[in-house]
Amino acid sequence: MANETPTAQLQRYAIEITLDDLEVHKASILLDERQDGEPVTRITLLVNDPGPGKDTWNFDAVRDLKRQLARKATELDLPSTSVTLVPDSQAKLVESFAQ
Amino acid sequence: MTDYPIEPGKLLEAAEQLAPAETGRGRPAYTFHRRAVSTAYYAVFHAITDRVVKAPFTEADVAFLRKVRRWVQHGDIRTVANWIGQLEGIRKGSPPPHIRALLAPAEGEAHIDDDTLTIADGFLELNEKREEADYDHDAVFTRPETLDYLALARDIVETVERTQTDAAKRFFGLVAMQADVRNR
Repeated sequence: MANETPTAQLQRYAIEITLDDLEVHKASILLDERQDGEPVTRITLLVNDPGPGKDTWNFDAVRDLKRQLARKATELDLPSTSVTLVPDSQAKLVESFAQ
Repeated sequence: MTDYPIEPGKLLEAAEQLAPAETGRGRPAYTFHRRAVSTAYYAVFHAITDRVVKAPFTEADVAFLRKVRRWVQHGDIRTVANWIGQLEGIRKGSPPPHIRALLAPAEGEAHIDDDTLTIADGFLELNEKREEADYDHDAVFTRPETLDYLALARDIVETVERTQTDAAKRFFGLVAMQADVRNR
């Protein structure tokens, strides 16, 4: 979309991703700095809870999701990414997902 | 020399014990999750330093290797892992031209394979999360995500200990060459 900021483009890209066992419902992007001052793109994703009887998500799906986001961020000339996954049942932990 | 060295496998066991379902009545174990992620990162760090020092010192005894392992810094591994990520298009920027020429020569195949990418990318992810776990008061560590980081750490440690690929050996060798000789 015209005039869309890189972070907005990344956010839109993130919520369109669906992988085995893992669906992104909401995304929040923050340009921040690491402890050493290096820029970082912090991506927080609200995703489905792990499936019934599972403690976590599909390992390969998580790696795939994070690589896709890292590649897109690089393409958009954004700093390297740090992704946090928050399951729906714990949305209240993240202010922007709590409403 | 102590008989209680730092062992990546033992650190992974400790990390798993730090990721219980709950502490107390229905209270999520967020502080434990932070310590689990940090401990899992150190399992990866020490597995890598073991391979790194064994790259140049193939015949050295245990006492010698334990000393020189302390010279390998987190930033040394980050530097080389970043080059790999940049060449793979998953980190911003580009390695210096002479490094690009070494790892991804204009003619011939790049010296990056699945094992090297698993180690480099996974190390960077856990290094970042370890900083968040130890310093960022706003960081969130839920149990599902903590367990995913533990699985990632196990996968990296297994890859580091198993791999014999030429690309991975180049990775360990380049990390060794980043390390400074220290007076300890």
